[in-house]
Amino acid sequence: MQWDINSERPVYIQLIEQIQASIISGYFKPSDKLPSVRDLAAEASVNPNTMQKALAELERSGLIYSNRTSGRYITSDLMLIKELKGKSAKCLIIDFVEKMKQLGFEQEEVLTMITETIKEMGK
Amino acid sequence: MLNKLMKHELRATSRLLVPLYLILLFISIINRFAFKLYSYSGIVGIISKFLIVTYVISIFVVIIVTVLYMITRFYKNLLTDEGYLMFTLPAKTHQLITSKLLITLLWLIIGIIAVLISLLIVFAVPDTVSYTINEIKEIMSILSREFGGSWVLVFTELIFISLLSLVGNILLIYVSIALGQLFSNHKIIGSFAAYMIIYTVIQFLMILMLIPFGVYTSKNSMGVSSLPQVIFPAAIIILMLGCTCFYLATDYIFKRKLNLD
Amino acid sequence: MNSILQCESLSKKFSGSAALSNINFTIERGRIIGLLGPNGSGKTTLLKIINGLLVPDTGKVQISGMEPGIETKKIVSYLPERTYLADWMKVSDTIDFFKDFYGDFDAKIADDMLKRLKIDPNKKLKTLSKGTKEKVQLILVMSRRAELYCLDEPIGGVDPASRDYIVNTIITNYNENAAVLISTHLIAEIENILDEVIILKDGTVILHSSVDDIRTKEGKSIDSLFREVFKC
Repeated sequence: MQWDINSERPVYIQLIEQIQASIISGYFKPSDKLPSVRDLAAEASVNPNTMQKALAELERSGLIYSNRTSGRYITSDLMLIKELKGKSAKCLIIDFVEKMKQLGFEQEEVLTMITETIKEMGK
Repeated sequence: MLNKLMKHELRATSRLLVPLYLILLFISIINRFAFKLYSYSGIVGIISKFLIVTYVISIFVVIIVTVLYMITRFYKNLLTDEGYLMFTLPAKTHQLITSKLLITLLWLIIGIIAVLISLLIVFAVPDTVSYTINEIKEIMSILSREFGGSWVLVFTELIFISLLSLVGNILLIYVSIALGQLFSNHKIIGSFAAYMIIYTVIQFLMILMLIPFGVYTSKNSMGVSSLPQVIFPAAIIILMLGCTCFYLATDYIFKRKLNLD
Repeated sequence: MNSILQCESLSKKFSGSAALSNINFTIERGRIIGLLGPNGSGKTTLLKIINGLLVPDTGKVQISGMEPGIETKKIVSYLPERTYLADWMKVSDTIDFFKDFYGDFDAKIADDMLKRLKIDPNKKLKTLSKGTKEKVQLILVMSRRAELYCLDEPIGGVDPASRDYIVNTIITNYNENAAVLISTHLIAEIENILDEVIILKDGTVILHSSVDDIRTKEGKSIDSLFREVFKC
């Protein structure tokens, strides 16, 4: 998995976001077993404490659960994953619309542009 | 820990000193023949004279190199970059000092033996063994005449005194180096200065001490026989005191006043 | 005892000027801490005191509750900024040396790291480049199962690929019982692996905080903050 950690924001927050993204994208499938904290930290070139913090937070939100003997697993709760997907998409859209507003587009124009552009991308 | 330090010290110092002594022995063997050709004229004579001169020089070189090497090694291994390694080992500072002291002593003794062997190689004739034994017998009889039954004592005391003064000299160098490193910008000059000052003080003290002894012996009109009973033991005690002072001072400086660059 | 290192009112003067004044901080086990500061801020002096190479004028330092001495040297693994190995030794000699003197040294880990970095154990140190020598020293230090690792500029003279390997080694070597104290000026390269930073200026601690707190509060990287604070 490609990790992209920048130095401006807390690392654990970025780890949470990127793990969430990999769950949504299907890189980590429901009920998949996660690599150990140590392995994940080494892969991401981050402190194992930080990775632990991120995973703990994800456990809290229910996306990951841990089995004391065998490690951590992605949730099998498809509804939860779908909800996450929806939330992430919504964030992207809000961000996009804000940026389009800054460029000077009205809401109607934004919708038209989206439909046209998607048609072009399909070709 | 002390054993490990000594083992490592021996290993590090053998690299230079073993080849040095082997070369000396090699030159000695060559010189045994060169000596025989000494009186020849022409090229042979010249070469043999050249070899003999080389031999004499090499004896001095061996001794000087051994001494200089052990001094510079003490400084380099403990007070330059390598000191970062040595002083962070789980060893007490006095173990670091003792290991170097003992191995230096060892090499000095080996050096002396090597020179003796080398002289034997060059000059020994079948007579040498019996001649040496006779000389030793002669010395022993002189000793027993002068000192009565106590010539063994004298002999032992003399050995002690020799060893202790050797150790004392080594420790004097160590404490001078340690004192030198207290002057952060002039470490080496500081060491030389410390050595000269301490040496001068010691000479002065020795002269002072000779006075009461001189008075004592002339008053009691004791002869040579007073040596082993009084003078030598006194000398031994004084030497031991000196060695202990130097040792403790070096240890204190390394323990509390170390300042590596 | 969870704190592995405690400094209390540490001060050290050299010929009149204070190298360290009233240093106070505690480091917990299991943390990776950055000791940052410009040249002359006292980082190396502090590390020397922790390792028993310097005696402070006032105050005290305790490693796992003990003052610097033989017992602390057994549990502290120190990588100084200079080459402290004798040039005549072969790489394999240095491994034997560490194995001999340190009970917590794991030769297998060292051999493995040498292999990964393609360093020939039979080569003499004097034939190796400066960067390779530094890697060898780092390997020796990290192969000890110590409780406190003090690394002085571990990625200083090393190429970027090796830097990644070194950072990776620090991460994979991690264990919750030990702490790693890294003194460096290459902040950008390692700030992502640091839990906390201690910033020194002119011999005093001007900041000791978790990296996350700083990034959240200041909204910038430690590197940026550092440049701001120490702008010339």
